[in-house]
Amino acid sequence: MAANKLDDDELIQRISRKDLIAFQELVERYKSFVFNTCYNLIGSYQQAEEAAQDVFFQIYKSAGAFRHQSKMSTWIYRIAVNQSLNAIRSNKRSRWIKSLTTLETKESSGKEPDKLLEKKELKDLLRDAVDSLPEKQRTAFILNTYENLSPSAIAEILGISSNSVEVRIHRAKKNLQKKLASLLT
Amino acid sequence: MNCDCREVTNKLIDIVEDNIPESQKRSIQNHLTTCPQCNRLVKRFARVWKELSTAEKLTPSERFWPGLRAKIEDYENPPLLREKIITGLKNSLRPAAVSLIFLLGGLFGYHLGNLPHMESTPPVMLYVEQYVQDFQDFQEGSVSDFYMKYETQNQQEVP
Repeated sequence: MAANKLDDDELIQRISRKDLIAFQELVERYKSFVFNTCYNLIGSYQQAEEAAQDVFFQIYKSAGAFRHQSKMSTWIYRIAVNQSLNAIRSNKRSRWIKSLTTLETKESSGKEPDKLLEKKELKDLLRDAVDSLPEKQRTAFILNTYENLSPSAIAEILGISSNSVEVRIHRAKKNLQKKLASLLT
Repeated sequence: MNCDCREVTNKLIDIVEDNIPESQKRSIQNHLTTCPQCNRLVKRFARVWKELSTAEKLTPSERFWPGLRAKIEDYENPPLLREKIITGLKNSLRPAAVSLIFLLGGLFGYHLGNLPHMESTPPVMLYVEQYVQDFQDFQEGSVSDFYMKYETQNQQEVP
């Protein structure tokens, strides 16, 4: 049977038997979604690619442990989020130094807010503001905003209650509002 | 900034996402028409906030699958223990070998620097010069003087 006609459950069963063709099909099916999740959380193309590879490697190794209690996409999301957070933590120091240099450049540039909003800087401004959020708020906010996941889906991925997710998203938005308002005034 | 300005700043997301209760909408709208600063802030904030919903979708590079496959193959066929040990030894011994070469070089240089100074050798005298000089040093009337004179006479008579 061709691997590309299999559903997710059949694919994962074949992968647990170390079927590389089935694994390649799974990678093709989910690589864009996994990579973008990692990229949105990490913010670096290269590191996101490495993290996404690690996500699939983890899936290959632990396919036999998948219990079918949740949707496979939820399981993959969970691995992707954990892998990305690990990558961020191991890279925290360099990110901190980067954020200092970014802040320095922005302060010394002395541009008018309107000029600040030109070109690529708009995205960078937002990215820096999101990156500066506490980890828990940032994760919930990114999954909700960039990945368009509902609080209940995020709750399942992070293993917390929907209420906690909503609180984290709300706090993240308030923090972002404060940071952006001070930059744009 | 008066109270209304602060209210606008605290409700930027709600304004942009249109989540303001109807009861408050009119007062905020009135304030925005009369306060150019808040009006500008809301417009700028709306531009930035809109970026959130237009996040670009990226695709991983072409190296993605080959790199992942290499990881899987390494996992499926781990190198033998012997190969692991040899590779580990090579990796750890390489810097040690380089250090040893430098150390030996340093010791050799130090040894060369501490060798006793050689006296410069006197210029080599030609045999004839030495002979003539010795000849001149013979004391008049000594056996050697007699012998040399005898030899010289013999050599002159030979032709």
